Parts: sequence; structure tokens; C-alpha cells
Amino acid sequence: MNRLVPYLVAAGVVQWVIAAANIFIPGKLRYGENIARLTPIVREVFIVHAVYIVGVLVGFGALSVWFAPELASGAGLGRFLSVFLAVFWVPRVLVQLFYYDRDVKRANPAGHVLFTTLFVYLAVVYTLAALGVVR
Amino acid sequence: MNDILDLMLWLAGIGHFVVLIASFQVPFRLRWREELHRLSSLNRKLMWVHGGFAVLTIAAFGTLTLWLHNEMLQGDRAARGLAAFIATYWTARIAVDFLYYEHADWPKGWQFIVGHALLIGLFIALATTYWMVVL
Repeated sequence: MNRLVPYLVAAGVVQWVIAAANIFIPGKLRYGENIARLTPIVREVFIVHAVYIVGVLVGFGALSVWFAPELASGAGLGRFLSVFLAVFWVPRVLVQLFYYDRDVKRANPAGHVLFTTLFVYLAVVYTLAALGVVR
Repeated sequence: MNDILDLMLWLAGIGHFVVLIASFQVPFRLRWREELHRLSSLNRKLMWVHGGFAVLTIAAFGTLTLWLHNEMLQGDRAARGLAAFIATYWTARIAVDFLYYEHADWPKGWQFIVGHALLIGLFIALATTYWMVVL
């Protein structure tokens, strides 16, 4: 078995954890009060995007847990999927570090460090799988 | 049957990029720049990030479908897993359109009615194609 397989299964679980953590985001970021200022259609799009991101994370988690050997194989569909997941998570690390407000991250240091660590883990594991360098 | 699915998969791959052409018009048509200024800075950035990652996901679905056409057509295990994910994504999108979006809130005009009908048709075609791969 490829040595990366258990790390890919863990990556799947990590994505489920991130998806579950999203349950607390609307309260923490005061979605309700914020989106009340938008026109109805933009408000609906905001909510759909937020829910869809959670659905996508659950789906990525499932693919990673159930198809870890394929993702680690360094060939065919599995490799291409690993490339996509790396392309998804590497920019997410950059967004967390350089795009989101510094003040918010300073006000929530534990959350910031935890999420950044999880995003880095996902970016590294999928990049290694995409490169096919671990056997 | 396989010939039909063969063609449907090529069209589905291209169809994702057609969805993206429509998606790129959303911020302009719904006046996001003006609308999102009513949100707090972090919520505004979140909306852009969610939108960006939705675009990335759809682009990846299209690319994966075109690139891995034969694997999808042969219906091996990982290909069917991925197809199930994409099928669920588009089925949920159809459900959102019929059950959640308030059509009275959409911008007015015949071009929106025609565009919306075409998009819904495309979502249904995408969902059908990937469910056929799964089954």
C-alpha cells in the first residue's frame, strides 16, 4: 500500500471537520445581520454559496476517504483528482494568510492557527499525491 | 447506449464552461460591487472567495470530464465515485433553483428569462449525464 493512503484518508476526515466547523461561522461572522442589508437575490446567492462550499467539502472528504488508494496511485483519474484538490487547497492557504482581514485573525488567534494548519496539511498531502513522489 | 453516453460526456465537459460564461456575468448583472459594500469587510471577502472556489470547482469538473473521458465512459470505481459527486452537485443545484430561489427577485427582462431557462436545461442535462455514468 502507498504510504500516503492513511494521510489521504485523514485529509478526507479533516475536510469533514472543516465542513462541520462551518456550522458556527454564520453566528460568529453575523451573517444574518450582514445579509439583511442585501437585496433578496444577492442574499439568496450568498446563502447558496455558503451552503454549497460545505457540500463540496463533504464531497471532497468522501472522495478522499473512499478513493485514497486511487488518489495516491500517481496515475489516471486519481492523480488528476489529486491535482485538482491541490489546486483547491494551496490557494486556500494563501487566502487565509494574505486576503482575510488581519484584525479578525488577531481577534481569533486559536481559530486562525488551527484552520491555517488544517489547510496547509491538505495542501501538502494533495500536492504530494499529485506529484506522485511518495510510494 | 455507449455512443449516446460518449457524446453526452463530451457535451457535459463543454457544458461546464458554458455555465462559467454565465457565472462570470453574475457579479456585474447583480451589481455585486455596489451590493457587497453593505457587508462587513470579512463577509464581503468571504462572498468573493466562495464565488471564486465555486468557479474553480466547476472548471475542474469540466476539465476532469474532458480529460478523463474514457475512464468515465468505462465507469471504473473511482470514475463512478467522481460522477456521483458531480451528479449530486448538479441535482442539488436544480433543487435550489426550484425550491429556494425566489424568481420574483431576479432582475427583470426577457434575456434573463431565456438565460435562466437555458441554464436550468443545462443543469438538468449535466445531472442526467453523470447519473447515467453512476448507474
